[in-house]
Amino acid sequence: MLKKKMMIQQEQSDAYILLLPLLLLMVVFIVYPVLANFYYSLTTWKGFGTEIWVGLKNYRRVFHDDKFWYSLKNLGVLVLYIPIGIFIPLLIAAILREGLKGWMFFRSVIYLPTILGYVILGTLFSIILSQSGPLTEMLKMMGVEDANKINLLGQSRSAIHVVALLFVVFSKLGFGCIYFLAAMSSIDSSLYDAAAIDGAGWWQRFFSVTVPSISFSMQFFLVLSFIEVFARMYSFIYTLTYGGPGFATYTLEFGIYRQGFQAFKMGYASSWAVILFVFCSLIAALQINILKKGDQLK
Amino acid sequence: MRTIAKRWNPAKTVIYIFLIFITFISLYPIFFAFISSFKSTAEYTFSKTALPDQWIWSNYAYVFRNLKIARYMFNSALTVTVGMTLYIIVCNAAGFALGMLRFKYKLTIFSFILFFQIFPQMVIASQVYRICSKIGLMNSHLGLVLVWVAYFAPFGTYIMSTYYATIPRSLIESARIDGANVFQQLFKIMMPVAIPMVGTIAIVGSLAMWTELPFSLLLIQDPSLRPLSLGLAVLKGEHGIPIPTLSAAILVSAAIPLILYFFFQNKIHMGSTAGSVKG
Amino acid sequence: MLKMKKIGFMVLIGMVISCVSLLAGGEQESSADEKVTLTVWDFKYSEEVVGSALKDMDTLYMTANPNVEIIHVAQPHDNYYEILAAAMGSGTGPDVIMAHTDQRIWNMDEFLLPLDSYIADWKDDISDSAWAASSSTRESDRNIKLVPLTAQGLGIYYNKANLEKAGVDPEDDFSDWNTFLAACEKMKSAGIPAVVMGNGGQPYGVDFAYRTFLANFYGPELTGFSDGTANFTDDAFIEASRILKTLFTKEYVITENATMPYFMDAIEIFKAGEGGFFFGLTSDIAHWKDFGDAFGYDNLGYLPSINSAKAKYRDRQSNQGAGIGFAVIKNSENIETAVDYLKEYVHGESANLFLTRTGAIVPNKNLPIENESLAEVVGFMSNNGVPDFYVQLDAAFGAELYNYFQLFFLADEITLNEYIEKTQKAYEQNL
Repeated sequence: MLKKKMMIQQEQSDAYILLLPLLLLMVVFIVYPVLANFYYSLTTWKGFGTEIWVGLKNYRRVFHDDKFWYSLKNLGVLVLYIPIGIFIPLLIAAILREGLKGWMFFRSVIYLPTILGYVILGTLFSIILSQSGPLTEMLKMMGVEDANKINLLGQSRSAIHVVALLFVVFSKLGFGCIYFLAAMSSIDSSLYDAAAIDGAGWWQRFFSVTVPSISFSMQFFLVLSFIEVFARMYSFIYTLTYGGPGFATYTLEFGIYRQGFQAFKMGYASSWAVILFVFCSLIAALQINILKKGDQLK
Repeated sequence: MRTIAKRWNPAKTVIYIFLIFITFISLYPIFFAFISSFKSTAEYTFSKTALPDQWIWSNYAYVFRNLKIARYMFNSALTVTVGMTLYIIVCNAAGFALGMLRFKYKLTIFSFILFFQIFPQMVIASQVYRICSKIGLMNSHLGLVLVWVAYFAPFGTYIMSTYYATIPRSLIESARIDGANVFQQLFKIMMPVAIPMVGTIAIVGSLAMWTELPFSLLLIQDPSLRPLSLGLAVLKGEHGIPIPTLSAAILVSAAIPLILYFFFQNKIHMGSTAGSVKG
Repeated sequence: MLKMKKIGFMVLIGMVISCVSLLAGGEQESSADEKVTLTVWDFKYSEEVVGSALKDMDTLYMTANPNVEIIHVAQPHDNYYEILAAAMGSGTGPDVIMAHTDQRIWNMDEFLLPLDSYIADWKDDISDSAWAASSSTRESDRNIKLVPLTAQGLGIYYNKANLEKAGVDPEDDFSDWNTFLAACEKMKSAGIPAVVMGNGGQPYGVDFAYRTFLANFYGPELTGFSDGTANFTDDAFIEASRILKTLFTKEYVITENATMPYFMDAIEIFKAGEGGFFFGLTSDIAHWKDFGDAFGYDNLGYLPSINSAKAKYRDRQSNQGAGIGFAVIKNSENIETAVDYLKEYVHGESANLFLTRTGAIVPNKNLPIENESLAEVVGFMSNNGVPDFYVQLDAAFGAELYNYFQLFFLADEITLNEYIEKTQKAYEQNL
């Protein structure tokens, strides 16, 4: 009995030792910086040198700042595309489950965007979609009149949607397909048989068997999508549109960069960071909730 | 396997067409960069989609001449290698603990890691810079590597923990009873079993480090220490850079990730499945 | 057990060695007694023409001063000031840095060495307006922090051959607004792009056009944009915006072939002989040398600005005084050498080299000017100079202003009134 108790304690201290490097690094390079934003949001600071206390001035300014409201609106639009970004790979995976000729080839190719990375992807698409780029030339060759009036990335009303389609739907497609495919591989096929016997068509089987069976995976993917939109878009926006035209593709995360690093208004940028923190906390809470339900944490 | 006869699904045709469409969009950017990189600026100005009239090498010559490519690639290779070593050790140690061991506050720590893993680089960059300059880690590969591990490891840890959670505990039980210490358990028993997943996070993690830019910008000013991603940012002049030259630079920087992908496709695809399977 | 320890030990050694070599990577080699190593940071060094010119100027200096080694580093342009701030804020910066003469560098004024005493001997060789731009308080006699390398201004170039092709007399006075518009109209009918502008990505074209117009509307009062004396709600600014917008609504800004090219591409287009007018620079690129070399100096025409009936001034030349300069960092260990190095840059053979190779106007009063087009431009810069609009603005606001340019001129999504309202609001927020 004593040995068992000792072993339990041993296991506990073992675990802490193993966790120490990660936690130490995180506290120094992540936790402290994230929390420091709270302090600096109450100051005027250039990003170097000394800061000056100004109380809530930055927050007052946020409310009157057009850019902030544009950012929220853009984030809203991006979030609305998330369901599409989930559904399309889901559908493709469901079809692929049944086998498709040439799947190996498709798999290699659709994963390519993920490999290239956001910087290269953003740069190349900003050239391709520009008014004087290959897309316009292609359209002209196909006889589309006024092809050079089309300005996908330069018009506010289309810019954010192009960004959303490229980032939320396209760039994740490869990853999503493979992810859902793996998730579906563990579904018991007898469930499908039972449903078919009951007279269910393909779509009915999809919604009554496939979707519920991998609901955990879908929820997890949902959270990942949120994280990507709120906290991983910087390089993509930077290279694709630089937040423009106007502020049509500005987000909170990008705004922190523009104002903190480019304009040296780090104190003000920190107030944006604090607001972003609130959003991230909500996402994190959602994530932990899902994982708990999914039994990932024993 | 399924016993019902396969019926041709009209949705399949639609999906096929869609997949071909996606294939085109996925391949075109690189194709475009490729053909543009061999055009002269004059030719590019008036012909964007056609193959080069004359295939010229001057854009690549420019990239290689103006960048110490060898040096930058060496720096990237060095930092990414050391970074990945640390990364794998940290992720496996913590992942093993979280995935398999039992201890108090496990849920709290797990949540803590998941929570702080979300924040974007922008939010932490200025402080990271301050800390590094205070403790003398500016302009050093060591500082860069530590920051990279700190930033990328939480997610890698999470992946490893879900993997370790699927491994039966019995594997280490006997070792523990025999008196093996935790490091032995980890390195001799667990990691060999987890090699496939370790390989995956290694590839994903090294891609992330290879293309990382914000931290490199702030922490590395000495040009002899520059990683490749930073070196390429230098090419852009004050008012931009001609597209053919930019295309050449892009291909040079994408070369390594593309080659790695070509050879390690399977490992990478496997990694996408982490966390997808319940329990 | 023993084997485990052995392996662990070797891993430990390996890591220690890696760490040490990583740490050591950043240190400079210590210099022997008299040898001085000067580190210079630059955001144009990676450019073909400018970079090679600077390199040769360095070689000239090192040949004349064999105990000095110059390490000239190219830094990314887009993130240049972030990198500077990071370096200087942590005390790991270089000796000399290149900088624009605008707000972006004055943000870091505290790190720059005041040069007034060091330049006293040769101050007169360089024009006063250049010194004024190089001073953190804009005064030519104090707080000088930069040695100016180029004198930058904005102006309008035109391709005489194309004008003739469209049936316009190339010797007309295009500084008259109506003549200018008429010429554009004729070119449009002839299918020649009237005004070539590069606005893709960043609306530089709009920016540069503005600066020429506002030179006439505000003249010396342009400095009012740095402290709120001048406003976007002024009639003058509104009128300038209105006439600039006309160029777009009448479709004179290039609409065929390359609809909204990136600035660099637009230069190539104009150089290739397409187009009538181009709002360009006087130094650096898109200037007299670029275009003169490309389609012939006889073909090249130049105007400092267009005269509008409602503008207070006439024929004013936007002159930044200095465009690019070099500063010395306060805590550099090689101040004497640094200052001497910079002195050589803007004198004699080096300066001449820079001028003839890159076409940039070095603000040294004693430099021989052989090229006619250059002489014309320099004449305007010296005699008709007024401050430059854009450099008066706060750096953050300047960047935002570009976003508004996109909305109003390029995407055409807001009205003139909304545009004025928004820009004024952002302007006030950043004052």
